[in-house]
Amino acid sequence: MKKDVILRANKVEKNNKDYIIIEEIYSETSSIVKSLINNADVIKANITKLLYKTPSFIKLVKSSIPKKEYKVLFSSIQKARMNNGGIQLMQKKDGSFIANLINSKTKKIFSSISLKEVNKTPELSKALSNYMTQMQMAQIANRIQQIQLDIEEVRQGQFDDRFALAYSCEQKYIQASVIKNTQLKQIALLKIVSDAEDSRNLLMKTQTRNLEYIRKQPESFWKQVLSLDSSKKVNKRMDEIRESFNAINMTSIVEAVAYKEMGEFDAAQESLSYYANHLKSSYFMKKGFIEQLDLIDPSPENYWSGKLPEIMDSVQLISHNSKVRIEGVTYGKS
Amino acid sequence: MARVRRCKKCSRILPEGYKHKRCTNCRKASSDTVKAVILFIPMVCATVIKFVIKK
Repeated sequence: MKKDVILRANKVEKNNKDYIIIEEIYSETSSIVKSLINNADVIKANITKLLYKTPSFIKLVKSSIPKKEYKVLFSSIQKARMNNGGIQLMQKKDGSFIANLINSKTKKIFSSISLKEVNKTPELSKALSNYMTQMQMAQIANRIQQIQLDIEEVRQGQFDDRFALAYSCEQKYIQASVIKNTQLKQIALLKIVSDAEDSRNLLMKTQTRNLEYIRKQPESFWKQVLSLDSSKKVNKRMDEIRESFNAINMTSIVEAVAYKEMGEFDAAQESLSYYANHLKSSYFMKKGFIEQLDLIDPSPENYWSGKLPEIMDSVQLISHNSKVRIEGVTYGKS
Repeated sequence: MARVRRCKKCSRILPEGYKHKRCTNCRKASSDTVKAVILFIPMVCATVIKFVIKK
């Protein structure tokens, strides 16, 4: 019995050692595979470019290899006698010619014909022009791709500008809240409210456009295959929607709190009511749109169906209920 | 209580009435792979044919 236990114990240990070894090997290969996967897009693009150029290049190389041909050289006497019909080329029974001249009447060999070896590349110029055309088209395709990337960068730059404006409102409020001079503080808060509203509207426009793009994404698998939009592009738009949602939320809060600081509770409610209307018209007008956002979002946490209705309810509650107010110091009273 | 269905690939919860087994995000990723294969294979075949066939 004891022996059995020891054997079993050994077996387990042995197995453990084996597992450890396997794990180590696996972790080494996975880093190689990981780097391949990360660079897959670049590798694929390079292979595609190479495949576009390869057929014409192969044809060019093939046509540059000269072909041997044999040229027949007739002397002037031979030419003259052939024109008279005195001599002719010797012919086999199957109709093919032999490099001998025979007397037309006696059918006896008159003389042999001298041949000259010539190297020719008949299709070289055509292959060369095809290759040049292919290269030009590849350059044009590259240029178009570069223009697309540049346009995307400009778009991203515009998006970043709008974000910068939103986050600057937050910073301005934090700094304005510690200003001691009451007059200056009021001016600063008014400016913050104005900037926050401008920034919020810009972000709302961007968000509306992105939401429209997501709404139009096809549901069926084969329509997705035929669609020009890649999953990378869709994921990027979803990230932008998330970021803009966060920023709009933040600027709305900043605006409402700034109004509260100035003692203008009705204005704060009005600004939140505008935000509530935007949420309703963007997300809740079409049935099933929140679920569509959940399904298309790269993150699997079902954020939209979980958090969005809660945020909507809170905003509506604060904006419509005059009794629910953010408590704080009433500004301006001596 | 309705049975909760999850995506086969990413395990996110699928809404009621959703007819597919995977979420839209996972299906979109698969469609990209199919698109790449459809475009890539004819190019490779055309190059190989060009190389192999002698006029």
